[in-house]
Amino acid sequence: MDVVERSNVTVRGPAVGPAMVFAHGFGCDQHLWRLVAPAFEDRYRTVLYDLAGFGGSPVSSFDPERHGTLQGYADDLLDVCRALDLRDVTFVGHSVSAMIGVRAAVEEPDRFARLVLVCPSPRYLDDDDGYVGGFSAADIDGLLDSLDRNYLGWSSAMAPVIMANEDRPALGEELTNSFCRTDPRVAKAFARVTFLSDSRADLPRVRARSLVLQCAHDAIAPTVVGEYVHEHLPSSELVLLDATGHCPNLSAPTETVAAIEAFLEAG
Amino acid sequence: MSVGGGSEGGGAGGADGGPSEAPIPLETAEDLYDRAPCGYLSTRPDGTIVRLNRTLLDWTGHTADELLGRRFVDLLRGGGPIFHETHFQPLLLIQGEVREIAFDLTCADGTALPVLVNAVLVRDGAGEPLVVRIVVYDATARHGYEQELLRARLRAEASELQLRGVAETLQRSLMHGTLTGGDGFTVETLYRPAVESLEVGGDWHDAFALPGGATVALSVGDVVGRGIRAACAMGQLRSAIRAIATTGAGPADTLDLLGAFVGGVPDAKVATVAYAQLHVATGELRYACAGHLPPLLLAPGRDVELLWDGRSRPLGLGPAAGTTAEGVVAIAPGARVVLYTDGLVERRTRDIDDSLGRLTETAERLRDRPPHEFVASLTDELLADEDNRDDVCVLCLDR
Repeated sequence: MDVVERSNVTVRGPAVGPAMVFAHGFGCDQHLWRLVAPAFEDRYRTVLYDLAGFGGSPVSSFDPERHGTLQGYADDLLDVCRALDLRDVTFVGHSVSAMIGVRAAVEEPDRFARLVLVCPSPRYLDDDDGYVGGFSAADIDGLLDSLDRNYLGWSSAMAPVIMANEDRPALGEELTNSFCRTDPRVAKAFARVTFLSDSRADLPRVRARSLVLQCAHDAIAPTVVGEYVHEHLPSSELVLLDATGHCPNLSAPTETVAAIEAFLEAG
Repeated sequence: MSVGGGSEGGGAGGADGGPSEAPIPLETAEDLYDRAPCGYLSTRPDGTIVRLNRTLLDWTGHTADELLGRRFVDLLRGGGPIFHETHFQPLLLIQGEVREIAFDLTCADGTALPVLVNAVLVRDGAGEPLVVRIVVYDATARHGYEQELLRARLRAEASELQLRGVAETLQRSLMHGTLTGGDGFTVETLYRPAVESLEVGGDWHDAFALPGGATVALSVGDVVGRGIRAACAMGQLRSAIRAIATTGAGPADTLDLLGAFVGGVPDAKVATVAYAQLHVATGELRYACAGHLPPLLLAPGRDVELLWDGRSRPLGLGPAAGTTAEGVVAIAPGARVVLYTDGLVERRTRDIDDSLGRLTETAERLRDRPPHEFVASLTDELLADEDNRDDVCVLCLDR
């Protein structure tokens, strides 16, 4: 299986433009970027892909061993970049994928020029050393339980959907297919990897210019965590969005796009 | 019959004068909302609760003042908040609605109320999110049932794991004791079962010293059939050979006696066996094959050859005892003998001569490799075109 198929890579925009790679976070797939990525297609070669086993990435591309740590997901990202020969990349990662991008940028610093980290967290669990991630081990068990409970009705629960957006009528079916496809084993394994990961040591090693986008009232990545990321990334700026929750790419796309544009214009 | 709250009753109502025809005063929009048989709440797009019904308050024990202005996600417990942010909210924003999501709500007294939630996102004229309407169904009984199902799944998984352990133990015990070598010879073996999940099958290998220690006996065989029954029969036959061999019987006599024994083993109706005895000091190899593919001989300075002597019919298909043939060949120092089962070479789409041709060609090419590498490479190469996974056994003796 080639990389494009394995990661369900979607490329838009000018073939020779500078590259922007968008990575979705835990839970869904590349459709999370549908209100953000198009804003850059006129100048950037936009590359969207699905994490192993999510969305349109076949379940068989998920390897419990390779994907037993975030490194495996970072390797997948690097595979995508190599397959498309992407350089001078602006990487945009949501949620856990922010740290997947950080890890990839530490490994191949010459490939990544800029990182946009949307609602990042380098560690979700609180630590004995005083670090506040916002979660306890019991919360993670609760999440796995939630995934179990919502697996039973998963296929029919997400049943098709009439989209309000009539400009893109095919979207309904497209989404149903992708959103229903996450194998619960993949989702649970990724939940464990995500919420038990600790990427704090990677932050000071990043050379790329970075933007941290922080929402208000983010139950997954609280403001104190966004501040931690900003403080430990050598060359970063922190932007506090008015948007609430964990998905500004969906709930406040205009504000999200504007913040990224401003960051790109600055260099 | 159905009666609308504001209707004036049916045409026939006046004549019958039945009480059911009169308007029911409680069926106002307000009461339909407040005392609906489900919880109902509305939030701003950011999740802030702006309205909710009486049923939800009754179920949770909260007061309206406690909940208005708080966010819906704050009512969730356990894994709910993470699931809400990573699944519920994205689905709602992309699809415009979400159905049948299981959450636990936190009640005023601290207990959890398992619920199923449907939600729709209402947008304004410009397409911007305006309000989220959420209905909440009490799913206590359903949740209990689902817990049962989940527990059953966990039990099934544990049971499967246990079964795997049993199969592995059985496999180890059935194949126990194959020699890996001795003074003047080494033995390399490989076993791969047909059924991936079940580590046992009907093929076996064995190498053991005969009483006195001057002779080593080799057996490779195949009980027709698959899975646990074939494996148990295999274990009996393999052990029977060892028992018979201690009497001083040669290869032909051993297979004759084994043929008689097979009839009494319920799951071993038919079996094939290659059995050989090597006098280690002289290199004399006596062998017999009951319906089994011929052993392979790699002698120094000579082409790879198949040992076609000593043939008889498969065990369990007759004939009577005493007719089994026996072959003799000299195994020079540096020579190698390979016994194997049909899974190594037989393919549905190829006749057996072609298959044996591939075997000898491949063995010729790999003959200089050390035993472990020889067996591994031979198996890898020959199984590359495998069309129907079968048990595979290989035993390789080097003198």
